[in-house]
Amino acid sequence: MQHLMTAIVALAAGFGGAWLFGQTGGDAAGAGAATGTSDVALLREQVSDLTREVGDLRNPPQSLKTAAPSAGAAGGDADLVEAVLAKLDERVDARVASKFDELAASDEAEATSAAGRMMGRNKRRLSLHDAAAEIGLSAVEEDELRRIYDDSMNRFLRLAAGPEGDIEDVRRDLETARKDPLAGRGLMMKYLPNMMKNVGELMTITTDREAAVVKAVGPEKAKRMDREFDIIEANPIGGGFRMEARRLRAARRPVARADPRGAQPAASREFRVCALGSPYNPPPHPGGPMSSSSRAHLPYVATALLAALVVAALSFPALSSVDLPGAYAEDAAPAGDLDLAALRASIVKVFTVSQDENYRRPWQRPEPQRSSGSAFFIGDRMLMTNAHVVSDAKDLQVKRADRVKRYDARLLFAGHDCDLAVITVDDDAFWEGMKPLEIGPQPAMRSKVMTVGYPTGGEKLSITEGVVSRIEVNTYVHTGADDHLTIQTDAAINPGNSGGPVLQDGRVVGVAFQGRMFAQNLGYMIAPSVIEHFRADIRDDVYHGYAELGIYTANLRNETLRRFLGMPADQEGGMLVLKPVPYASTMGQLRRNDVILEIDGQKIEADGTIRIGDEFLEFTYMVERKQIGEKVTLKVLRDGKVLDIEVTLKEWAARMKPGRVYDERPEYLLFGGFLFVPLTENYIGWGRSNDLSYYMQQYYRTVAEEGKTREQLVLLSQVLPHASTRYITYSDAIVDNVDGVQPRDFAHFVELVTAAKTDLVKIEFEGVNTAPLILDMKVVRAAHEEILKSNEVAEDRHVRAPEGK
Amino acid sequence: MGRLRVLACAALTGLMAVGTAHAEDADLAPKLRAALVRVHATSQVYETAAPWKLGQPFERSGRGVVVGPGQILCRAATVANQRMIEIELANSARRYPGTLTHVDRDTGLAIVGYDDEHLKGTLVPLPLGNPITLDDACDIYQLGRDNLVERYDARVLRASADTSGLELLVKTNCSDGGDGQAAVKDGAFVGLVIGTFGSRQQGTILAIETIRQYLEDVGSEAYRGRPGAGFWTHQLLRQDLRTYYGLAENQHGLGVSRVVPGRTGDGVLKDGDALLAIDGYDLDDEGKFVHEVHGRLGSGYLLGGRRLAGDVVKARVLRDGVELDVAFPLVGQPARDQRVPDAWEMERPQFMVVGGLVLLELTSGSGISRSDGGVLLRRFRERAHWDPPTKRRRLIYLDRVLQDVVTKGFEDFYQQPIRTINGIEILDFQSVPRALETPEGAFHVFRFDGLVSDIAIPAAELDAINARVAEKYKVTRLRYLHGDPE
Repeated sequence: MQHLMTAIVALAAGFGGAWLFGQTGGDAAGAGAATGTSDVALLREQVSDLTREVGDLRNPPQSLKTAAPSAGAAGGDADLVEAVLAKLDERVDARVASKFDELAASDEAEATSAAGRMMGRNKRRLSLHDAAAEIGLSAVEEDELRRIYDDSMNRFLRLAAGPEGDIEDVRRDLETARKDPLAGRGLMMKYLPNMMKNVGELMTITTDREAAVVKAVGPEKAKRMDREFDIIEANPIGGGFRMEARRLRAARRPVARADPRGAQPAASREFRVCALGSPYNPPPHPGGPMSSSSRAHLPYVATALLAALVVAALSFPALSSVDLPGAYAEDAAPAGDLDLAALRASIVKVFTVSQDENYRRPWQRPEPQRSSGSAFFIGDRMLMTNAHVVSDAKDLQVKRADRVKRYDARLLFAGHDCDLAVITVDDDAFWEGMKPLEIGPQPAMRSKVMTVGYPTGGEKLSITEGVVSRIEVNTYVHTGADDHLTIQTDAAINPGNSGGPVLQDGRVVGVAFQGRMFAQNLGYMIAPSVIEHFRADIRDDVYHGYAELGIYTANLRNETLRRFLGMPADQEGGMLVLKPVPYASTMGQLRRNDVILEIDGQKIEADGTIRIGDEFLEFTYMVERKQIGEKVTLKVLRDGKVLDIEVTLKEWAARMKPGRVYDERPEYLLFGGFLFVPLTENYIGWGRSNDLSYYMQQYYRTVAEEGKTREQLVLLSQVLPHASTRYITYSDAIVDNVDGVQPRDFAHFVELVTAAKTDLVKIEFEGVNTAPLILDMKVVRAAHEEILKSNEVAEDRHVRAPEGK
Repeated sequence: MGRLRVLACAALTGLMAVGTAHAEDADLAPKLRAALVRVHATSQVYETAAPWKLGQPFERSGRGVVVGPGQILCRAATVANQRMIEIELANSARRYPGTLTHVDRDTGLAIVGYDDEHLKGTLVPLPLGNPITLDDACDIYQLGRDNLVERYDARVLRASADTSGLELLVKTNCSDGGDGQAAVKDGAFVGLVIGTFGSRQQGTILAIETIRQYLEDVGSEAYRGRPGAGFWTHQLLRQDLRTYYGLAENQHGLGVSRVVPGRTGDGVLKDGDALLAIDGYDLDDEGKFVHEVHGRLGSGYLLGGRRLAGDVVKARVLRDGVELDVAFPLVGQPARDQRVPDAWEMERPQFMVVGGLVLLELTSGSGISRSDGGVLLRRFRERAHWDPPTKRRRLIYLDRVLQDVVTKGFEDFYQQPIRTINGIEILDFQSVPRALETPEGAFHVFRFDGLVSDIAIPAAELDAINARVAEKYKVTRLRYLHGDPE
């Protein structure tokens, strides 16, 4: 089985390497360069290893044949492929982290850059012609490259198509997969057998191409081509990785410092947040439930292929094992004075069947996915876990380590903004003998902690030990838009640990929830203060969430800027207000260039931190400890005067929510053949264009500034084919107005369009020359039912009424 | 062993002969050897992120065709950003000096001249031939390996045209890159090869009609160049837009959606007009027309591809239900300093280093264009070129901060578009020194588009900071703006 998996992993690697990631060799080259390894030699070595492994597969020992009778038909075995891809995810995480660490040992900046290159980031997607002009290739060289890219793509397509297939069919399928991630799943199944037969050849396509490129333009130019460009001709299907963090940053709630680095995110955050994100699916939950990545990934072949690419770019042999440093089995001697029997009863494994939403065809649902995580008993028949373990859940089961039976569970509360949830079990038998775990205080730096849960690699309870290595406010990647106090530990936190407790002296001092892709021994847990905040919030049986201060701020470390702002020379610290936004707590109370000196009596340093004990934490920590409706007092320097401003904390009030949402049906209106949707992070996560991220960013930077006139952006997502929509092609066009009226939000838009009294309704879009859409209402209404029927659409809309209406 | 080597050589020769030179007609061969050249350009560009530094020289080469006395026609890309041009002749390894005498980046063509006596005595122009069209056969000639003249077969598959001129798609076994080979028919030059697609055995030829027009323009007293477009249009295939533009069932054309002031069509065409015909050619609902020789072509050919700036076109438009005949002059392309430059144009980049702040301008080669997948560039370019109310024709941005004691705390600023300096809106690079003439009190204050703080620099200390930064970071010059001495 192991051989089988390895081979399929390798197979997927070849598939991905040659297909979506036209410059696999270049990625490897980038990594090689950083470590001084010979690029081509490295790749050749990998191919050689791969070939050996494939050889093993073709001639498996008898024992393996017995164990894996389906080896020869692996391509058609959906479960097997899913299992392999899930396994692949785990290993990719480990290998990428290992590689990055290796590079970082020599030069962190270079390592970051190299890692970016590995992932295909930091490359501009250009036509060969443009790249050639920029890099100074002769026309002969350019055409030679064109020929090389063309040839290698055709070789790949030929292999994928198989001896009987037509490469144009493959080409069409790839294009389909690019547009519709769900199609990618079927695609993988369809072409896997052919790939399986030719895996060695697949790998050589890439190496051949790289060698040919070097020969054609010389090593220097070839290196530049690899490092700087994602050449369209080499990778015609596209799929270059957007920087997930950048996109999310654009939508981050304005509660902390604005990033002066413009649109480009800091590399460290980028890798932490979404190392394996792809434009085709929401990013995985690093350190999420055991199959969280597979749960998120499996419907999307692109991500599987991305993972495969990384495997290809790194080293295959080491894939054979992933050890959990510091982990020991439950039967080994427990550390300290842990009551293992109690833990086995109180810390449970959560089995989730979830079903995401389809933002492209919102009346449909993707395939359900299975995943698992951990949870622990906190009393009152409540099990605490991560929200991402149970989000979009259709079925929940829990299993105690000391029982065989799985019990049905149900969700009580989910706080997606803090990635915590509470579930319960109705069966009284489940709770017998359980002891609640007590929430402890915040652990001290360097103090020992233990992570307990059900990580990948086995079925039994696992305990890993480490120390607290950092405490700071950090982004919670579940939504990608919320920052809360986070505790970092070197105790291993792996997929499956999510939702499990981190213990110290028998008390819970954190909930394991995410990790860092490009580093080793860095796991993150939710701090006790956040856990307590969540528990306090749900006391009234409703989860309200976190308040939003609603300001963009900047540091005041520059002395000249302080002088320019008229701050007294003896005035230390302070945080500069760049912009208050109209949808949150400080609306109307703060202005640009106000300087916040204190919050609730705590002095704010010039870098925006406050001192809590020995730690300096983001000043927003003072806000996040409070519940909606509570107050904070700000001491503000304005025009040379110091003011005390009392702010009543509110939640984010705009309809356009920052970050990804869960457990919500997407809003849409299918009117005739026209699919309108509100712009959301979830929608962008489904692989929409860069332009939507730009609009999202602009919305938070400028549109929100204008007041409450536009709380949500609406876009024409796509036009379904029908006689009434012939020649009409729009894709993600942002609606500017309907007959001259700018819609406030999606509900308003729906009202404007569907309740129009005129025969013709004109919809204008943003953009310099996007043609208006003239809806002939008689034609649209006449076609409406037919289009619903032909597309099997049960409901033509899902629209939430604005709050308060 | 010796025999084996001979056999191997023979086999290799046989392989190499496939698709390459074979016997030409006896009269044509010497003519081609006297008219085909190889053009080598040694180029050098300034570093994008540190434009005070000149980068490593590199060489690119292409082919050229002698089209007149002292005139070698080649692709503009071949000689882009050249510092030195050299010419190689057929059957020769020696290089001779050449000079760039004309380049039109919009057309993609350039003229290289030469003064060398040997070249003058050796090179003979190839006569310009007649247009070729669908299914016509021609030959493609180039200087191949060892500067031997090679011949390839070609046959025209179809024509296409837009504002950039008339191009012919040919079936050919030439796969050596489209870098200025000559298409020849009946001993005359009928097109310049600008692209080949080996795997498809196809190539693209810039047609002689377009080349002839360019050469005539170059030979005229004042070069006029290609007209620039002046109005946005919509295709009218869609019934909803046809209704919107008021077209009857038998009327076809393009919808005019926006006329840019000062550009082609201004004062004559109006938003909401439907353009039905140009110069007597009826347009269809995709905006194409049927050319008497080449078949269905894009209307851009009528408005730009076959015209020069200043030419007048006649058009029939539908306005408010009435068909009108109108005429308007074709306005030239915006001046280069009024356009957001492309990277390949390789103009010397403008920049300023002010108090450690490195200010650059948005081009397709700018780092800022890479950060967002080019969205900012595209949107800004659209607005700057096509949206007249936009006053910012160039986007100037703070690329990064060279750390100095005065700029500490701003080190994280990166690629931030500048909105104002000292309260003065920054419309182009020339606005920057003007804005710096009037500090805001005791400070020079930079404000940005993004959500970042202002940057303030003590005005009185600016020269001292500049000197410190220049010394510390070895910045050899603090600015280059158009008009500054090289």
